[in-house]
Amino acid sequence: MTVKVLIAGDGASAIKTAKELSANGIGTVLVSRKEIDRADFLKEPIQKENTGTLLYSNSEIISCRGCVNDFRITIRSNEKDISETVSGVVIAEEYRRKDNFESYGLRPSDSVISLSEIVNAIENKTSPQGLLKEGLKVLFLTGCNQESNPVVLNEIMTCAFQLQKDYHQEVFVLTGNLKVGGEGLEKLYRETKASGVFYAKLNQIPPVVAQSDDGRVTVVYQDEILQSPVKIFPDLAVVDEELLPSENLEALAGVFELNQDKAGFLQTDNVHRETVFTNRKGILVVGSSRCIADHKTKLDDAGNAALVMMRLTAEKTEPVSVGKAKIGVVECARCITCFRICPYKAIRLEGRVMVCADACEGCGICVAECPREYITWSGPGISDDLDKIHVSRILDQTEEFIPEIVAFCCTRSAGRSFRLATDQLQNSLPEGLKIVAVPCAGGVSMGHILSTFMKGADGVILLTCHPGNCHSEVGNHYAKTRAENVKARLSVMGFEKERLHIETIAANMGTEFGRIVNAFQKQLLELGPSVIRKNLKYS
Amino acid sequence: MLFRSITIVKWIMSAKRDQGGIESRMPDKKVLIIGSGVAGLTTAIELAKFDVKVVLIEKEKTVGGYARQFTCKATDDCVKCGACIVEEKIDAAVSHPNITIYSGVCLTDIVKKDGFAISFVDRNHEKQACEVDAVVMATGFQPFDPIDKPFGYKRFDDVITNLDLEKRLRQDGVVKRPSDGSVPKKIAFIQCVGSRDSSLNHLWCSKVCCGSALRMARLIKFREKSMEISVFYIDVQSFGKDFQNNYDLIKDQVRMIRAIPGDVFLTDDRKIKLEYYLPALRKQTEELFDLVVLSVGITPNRNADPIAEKIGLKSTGSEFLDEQSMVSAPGVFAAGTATGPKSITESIADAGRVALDVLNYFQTQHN
Repeated sequence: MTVKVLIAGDGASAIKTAKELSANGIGTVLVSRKEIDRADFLKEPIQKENTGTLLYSNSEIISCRGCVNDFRITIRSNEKDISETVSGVVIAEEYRRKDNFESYGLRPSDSVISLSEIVNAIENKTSPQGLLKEGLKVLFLTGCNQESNPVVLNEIMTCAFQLQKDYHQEVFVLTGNLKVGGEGLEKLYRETKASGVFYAKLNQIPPVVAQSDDGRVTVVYQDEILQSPVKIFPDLAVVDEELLPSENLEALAGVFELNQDKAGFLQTDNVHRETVFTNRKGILVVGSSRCIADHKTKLDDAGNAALVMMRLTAEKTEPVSVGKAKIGVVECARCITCFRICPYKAIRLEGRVMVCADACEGCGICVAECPREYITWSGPGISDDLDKIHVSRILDQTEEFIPEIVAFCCTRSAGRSFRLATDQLQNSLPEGLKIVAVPCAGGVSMGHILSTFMKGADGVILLTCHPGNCHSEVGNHYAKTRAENVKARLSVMGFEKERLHIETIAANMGTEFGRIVNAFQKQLLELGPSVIRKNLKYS
Repeated sequence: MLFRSITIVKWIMSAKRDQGGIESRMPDKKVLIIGSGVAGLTTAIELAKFDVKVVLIEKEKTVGGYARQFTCKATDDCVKCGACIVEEKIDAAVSHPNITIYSGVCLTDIVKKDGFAISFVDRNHEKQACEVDAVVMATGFQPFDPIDKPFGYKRFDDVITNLDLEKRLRQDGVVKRPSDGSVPKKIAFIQCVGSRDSSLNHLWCSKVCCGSALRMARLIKFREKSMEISVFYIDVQSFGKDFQNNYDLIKDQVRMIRAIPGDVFLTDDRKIKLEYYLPALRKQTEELFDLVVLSVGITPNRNADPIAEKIGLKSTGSEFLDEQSMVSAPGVFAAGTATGPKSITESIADAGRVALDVLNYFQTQHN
């Protein structure tokens, strides 16, 4: 079967991704909202003969059904709807640029322009407005009122360098923090400085920018070394821009059910989404669609996207069914709780409520949340692991009390830190500590916690990932809410709620793991054995 | 109309047509990866997934490189430093049948032939030899040694580096003065030690130290509210997606001073005295601190130079490995901080792309 991947976008990232995919035998369907220049694709014909690129110009993606390996996409092209079935999707839209005139209290004029305008003039080597006239005095305003970034600084320094060198203009750069944290930028900064570009870095006091009726700008800033005001009266003021997510990302987030970060990029601020992953399997996001990306990031992302897509096809031959959720077809009451909560959108409503096994990451949140417990695991689940846990009976009241602690550990965080703790701390972990490794703490149900107490455990501890670090985004949140709920119930029952504890931890914190479980053991030692354990008949 | 908007582009190449489907699995290829930091691990895992056999060698006894020594900097929430990801990578690499890891090894020879003939001495002092089809230099960086800077490193116990602080926070959770084990009340971070320094010809920003220092500062403040923290800096570099918000939060808790101190002294009551020029006051200022943390820069790993030369990479003086020079050395690749300063996540992205480059190289060889 030929593998096809849909790419949304038409800029550098989209083209690079399409090329990387084609070079590796994967067909691409590229959808652009504007007219695409076919020549861009023909420049480097590195594709294999069995693959091609299908280009949809002036088109938009209006719906997506199905999931990984079987996305059924509808593309609206010239008022006609076209269906495409693809294995994966790559979102590769470029930035939207927003000028910062307003933040400096300026209005655009012949002598006040945006960064894009000067970039274009230099690229085209011509400017009808006379921006490239020899001997002009040019002032760049950047990062004075809000933080800038290395991508914008790179553009500014490149322009400044050329204006100074090729057009013999006198260039000033007024900046806040100089964002040289990008490849080669410190060097470029030194070179521009050596060629005569003048930089003034403002720290405490922002510059006073005034614009006269004819549109010209006067800038007065406090020189922090001279401690006196300096006045610049440039012929041309170039104002920097903000790089924002493309206006199309909002729509794409809706179509593909993707989580967005605060700024609106299609990748949440979660390290588990690095480098090109989204909350949905088989849908990737590259370059300026996921963050403020420089040239190198775009290249790396395109390569990584190709790698993931190639793997998707390679992995298809391997059987995957263990550790996935399974809905009881007959019993399901179609309350669609699972559909609403699945962080990976792996539960689809297609005729019936169904789990898309390829897209299921096996977090178990749906299993724990299904009100009628009709969702089970294919293969062994948390309950099976819990069955293997045995709590010892207290035979003799005089013997030393060793608290029986059951720790539900998310394999991504606590599971790893437990291993580090055993390596580093050897025997200083509690003697009665028993580990139940779970794919996500959000999969630990109320039933799991209560049945652990019923087994006679003196304490139950839930170790989850830190907020913002949960692979399932909200698994730790579910775990926390559930733990609070169980605590309230335990109190009502007259059972010490302190016997249930929940804490967050990271994968690399072995000592922290030891500290948490030892502190919990100390608390249990004070509480003494649980009433259930004391009354255990069998063990 | 429809015709214009849908264009099918198909390249018919004169190449052989016998290749039916996609052949991305390469079970007959073997790759040597030098260095088991996060970049080396990532390239290894990615290649192994395509059935490439990987020999991963590490000169240290433990795998994971520098990033494995870093602490989690989460306060209530994860602050996205990426340090936890290293453990995940180690798990994946160790458990993968296509990856053989040798730690504590000494690479004795590497000779370019059809592929590369390599020999090394493993941790049991036994000689090992094998032939590989490609070499990935994931040789990482060297933290700048601040011994020659006037900051009193190694002369005063309470002047440490950011890497020392990472390790201490990871092991002890709290920060203490190395001299007497007491909890410091005033801490100073000095940024750009060995970075952005023309006197050293280090014309690069190390990119990660602002994020690392400010995240650690916030973590320390979070655990010990009364701690006073000052950060001496040149320019604050963006880190993380939500930089503006995070930085605004940090600015409220930490004193940011745009100056790099000159000399550092030890006072009679064993405090560290910093002298710096405060522009607002137009004068040289003195201030006492209990602990000084030097944010040392990422510098090229000079230990890798002999290997680089052997496999045909030009030695580039004080610079990092240059990807351009790889062109003249087919079969040789470089990933991670070997080619320049990168954060953990940037190293992972870079290393993934390098894995694809290696696969593409094998494809072109095959055709």
